[in-house]
Amino acid sequence: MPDLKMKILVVDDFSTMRRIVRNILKQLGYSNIEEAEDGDVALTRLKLDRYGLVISDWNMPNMTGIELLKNIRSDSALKDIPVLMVTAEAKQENVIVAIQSGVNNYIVKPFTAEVLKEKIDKIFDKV
Amino acid sequence: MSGINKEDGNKESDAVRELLDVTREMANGNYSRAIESDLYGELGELARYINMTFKKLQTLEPNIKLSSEKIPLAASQLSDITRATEEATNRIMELTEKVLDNHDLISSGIERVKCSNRLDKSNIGELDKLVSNNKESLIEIITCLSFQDLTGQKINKIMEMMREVESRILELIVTFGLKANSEKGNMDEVTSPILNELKKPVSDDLKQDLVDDMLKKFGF
Repeated sequence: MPDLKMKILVVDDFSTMRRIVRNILKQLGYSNIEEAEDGDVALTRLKLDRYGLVISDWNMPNMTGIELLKNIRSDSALKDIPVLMVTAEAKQENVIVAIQSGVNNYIVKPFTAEVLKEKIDKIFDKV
Repeated sequence: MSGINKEDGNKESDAVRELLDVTREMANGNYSRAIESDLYGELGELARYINMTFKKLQTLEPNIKLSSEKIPLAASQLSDITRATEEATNRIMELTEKVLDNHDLISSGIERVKCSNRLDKSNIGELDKLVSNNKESLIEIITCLSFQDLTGQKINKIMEMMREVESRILELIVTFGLKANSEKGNMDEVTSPILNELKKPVSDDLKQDLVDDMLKKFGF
């Protein structure tokens, strides 16, 4: 079962999307949520504090979600942080690249609160 | 004895001079002047090709002018749409958050009423107020959703502009023929993917259930 008190980092260049994800997480019982507007800012935050989960979009300026994922997996201090992609990129090749890069699960937009809960629970069932 | 008399020779030089002037103007972007001299043989052939090229180039300027006006306009419309949807979404989010907070207060209020032995009118009054606030918020949410109509109209305008730009580009491609080579290779190879993308009506993106099937195959 996921720890409801864990710190979650929501990464998306659209503030409205970050707000939506934050609200859904709040409804699911998670209250310790931080935000980053691109992969670069996210990576800096991840190196400064301890996070239990990263929820990231794909298409972002400065550093994309997939680049962020690769950077997380190649950093010895960060490599075990679960990463959930929540993205509009819904082509088969995108899913494959994400899996090969070490994603823990993948949600395509638009999504529901139920799907988000299901994917987070699934990640922590395996961890 | 020369086969060409002096008068013919002068006519020929004038014509060549005219050829030179006209091609010089073409190189400087003036496509309005055609070669008028009567030329024969290879020079005549050259003059005819130059005139043909002029006619084609005359279609270039208005097409480029239109495309270069429409494209920034479309970009600005898209920017407006992003702004409008962001504002509307933020407002809807605010109202929804308010409803959710009120919902929690209503829930706790109901629990207090259930737990108490008597009906406290002040508690009920508070709950009434929260319910009324929520109704106002929900009605405002419905109103905010009208942004979809405005953005839909802007998108339709952009699609119209893009269709016009597409037909101008197609006109240029047809005019200049598909055999023209660029540094990037055959023009057809460059333009076909763009035209195919413009014509593509339906998204071939995967839905969540298909993504889940893929994830299952990889052990997720």
